[in-house]
Amino acid sequence: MAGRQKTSSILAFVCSWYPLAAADNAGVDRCEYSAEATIVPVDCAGTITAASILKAFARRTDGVLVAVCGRGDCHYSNGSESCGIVIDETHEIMKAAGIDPARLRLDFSSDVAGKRFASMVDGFAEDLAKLNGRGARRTAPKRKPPATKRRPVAKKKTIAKKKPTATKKAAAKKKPTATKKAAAKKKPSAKKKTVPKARGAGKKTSRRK
Amino acid sequence: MLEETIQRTKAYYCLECGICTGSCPVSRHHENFSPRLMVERALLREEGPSLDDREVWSCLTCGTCSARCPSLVDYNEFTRETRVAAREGGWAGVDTHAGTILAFMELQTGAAGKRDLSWIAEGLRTSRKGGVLFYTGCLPYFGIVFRDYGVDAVGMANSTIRLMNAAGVRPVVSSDERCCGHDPYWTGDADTMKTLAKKNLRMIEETGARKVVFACPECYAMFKLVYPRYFGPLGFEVAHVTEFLVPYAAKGKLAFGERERTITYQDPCRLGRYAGVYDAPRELLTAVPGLEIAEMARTRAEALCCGSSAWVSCTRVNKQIQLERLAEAAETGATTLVTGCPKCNIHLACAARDGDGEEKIEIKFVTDVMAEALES
Ligand code: SF4
Ligand code: SF4
Repeated sequence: MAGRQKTSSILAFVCSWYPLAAADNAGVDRCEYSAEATIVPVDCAGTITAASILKAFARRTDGVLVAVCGRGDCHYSNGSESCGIVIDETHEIMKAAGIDPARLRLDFSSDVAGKRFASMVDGFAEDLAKLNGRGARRTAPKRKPPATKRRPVAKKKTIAKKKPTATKKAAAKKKPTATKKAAAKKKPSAKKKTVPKARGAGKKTSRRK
Repeated sequence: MLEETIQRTKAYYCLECGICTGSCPVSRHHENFSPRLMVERALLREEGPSLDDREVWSCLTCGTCSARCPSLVDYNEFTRETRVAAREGGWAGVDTHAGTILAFMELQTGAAGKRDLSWIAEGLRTSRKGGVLFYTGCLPYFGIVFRDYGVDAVGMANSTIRLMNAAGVRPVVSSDERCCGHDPYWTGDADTMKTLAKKNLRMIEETGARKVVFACPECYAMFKLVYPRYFGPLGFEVAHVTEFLVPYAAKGKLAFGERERTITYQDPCRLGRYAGVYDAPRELLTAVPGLEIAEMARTRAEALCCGSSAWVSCTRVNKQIQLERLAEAAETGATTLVTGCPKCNIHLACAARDGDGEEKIEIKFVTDVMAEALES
């Protein structure tokens, strides 16, 4: 992947248990992987809704990756399975809307090896680059630059964490990126002027008194 | 903003008679909700229309209050404009179905590509260009989301095409069609509606259609009443599928077989109180020999709303309204509750599924009933 141009934007919802540990290990083990992925940790993949994925596409993300604990390994009870159901439905909706379902990838894995995580993200990035090359690219050109400018990303994500000794859990907690909340707020949404804060944001507050 | 809303909706004419609150299906089950108080507060500006009030999102925009208001206050528009202001202030309602539905509507403002038309059943005839266009609305999407609710929304679209074919019409179904924007519009997001509307108007122009037929009264009401307000007169006619088919049935071009059954009919807010279409669905249904309509206690302009709208706020109150309506339908002795709107069908079927099973009445969309009765 060296020298490959930045071609796609990937929003990666990563469950905070096995997959996030894997993502962290990728940093700990200094595995290079696509800088196109913005990692959004979620408490449990079972909380991911079709709406959060569709909105990412509505706001011109090229691909959405959902990294979930292996089937039967959900830390709660059935998050992996319910996530699978949501993704199936989302794939169908994408197909109906004329968006290639391959732009949404679900990765079930309880493997915490950083290397696997890195190559999985790279694989998706490469497939997306091919999809974009097919003329199906729906991103950048029409964007209003200020409204969609993403936070600047270093070319390679070599997470400079020098504590290979840290346990997975501790590592998971000390994720190199922003805190979960801050990351969630940074979802591509929020910036479109006409939509206030994203629908979800108002929910808490719209409850009166 | 508030001042303009008061002017536009004639809220200043309010007599404080309370007929709106007395008529409101939400107020009946929800003591905190009062359209009269909302208007009063706006007029007195004491508490303002508090935009953070969750009740801003409780109104069904069913139009019952506006239809009865002696001072002709347009409460639906008042609600909508309050929602626009609330949205601008950063508030939003609680989306039903985890926001999926409003999200796929937003998706269609730009990112979506050509719609998949593989749902069209084999043997049905459609075309790409022609004089009559069938606007399918969200039916293909609802088919996915509501499959588990026992509602076949794709089947509704197919039965509409089947009826049109039987009448000798080969409708255009376009893969460039987008959501009509009804739900974003009524939840205070007029910009999304305008983006979608422009795409739809362009799409229709490109197909050369002179007449657009709708299965969903919400799409129909948007084209008939809202689009012209923003984009001027439409260059084509619009018709609900029932209005479109009545002349064919009257001329004998659509022949139906004998079906002994008693049904009752749910007037959708958008088709009835908004667009004023009450007779066409009834005329079409009674074109089936042996089919009789037993009207519910509240019917036509008095009809009770199906209990949920615009995919925002579905609470205990909404469920109670739906169960109330189902009970009313069952009381008529009819075996089937026929709806003129796919969404009424979805919401009522959902309540029937959740209910304790007392309301044993089949719920069906009008074109499904008609297509079943076709003489083949
Ligand atoms: S539009 Fe319907 S739900 Fe809303 S206040 Fe009027 S009667 Fe009540
Ligand atoms: S009534 Fe059922 S289908 Fe309708 S909005 Fe509520 S939960 Fe959804």
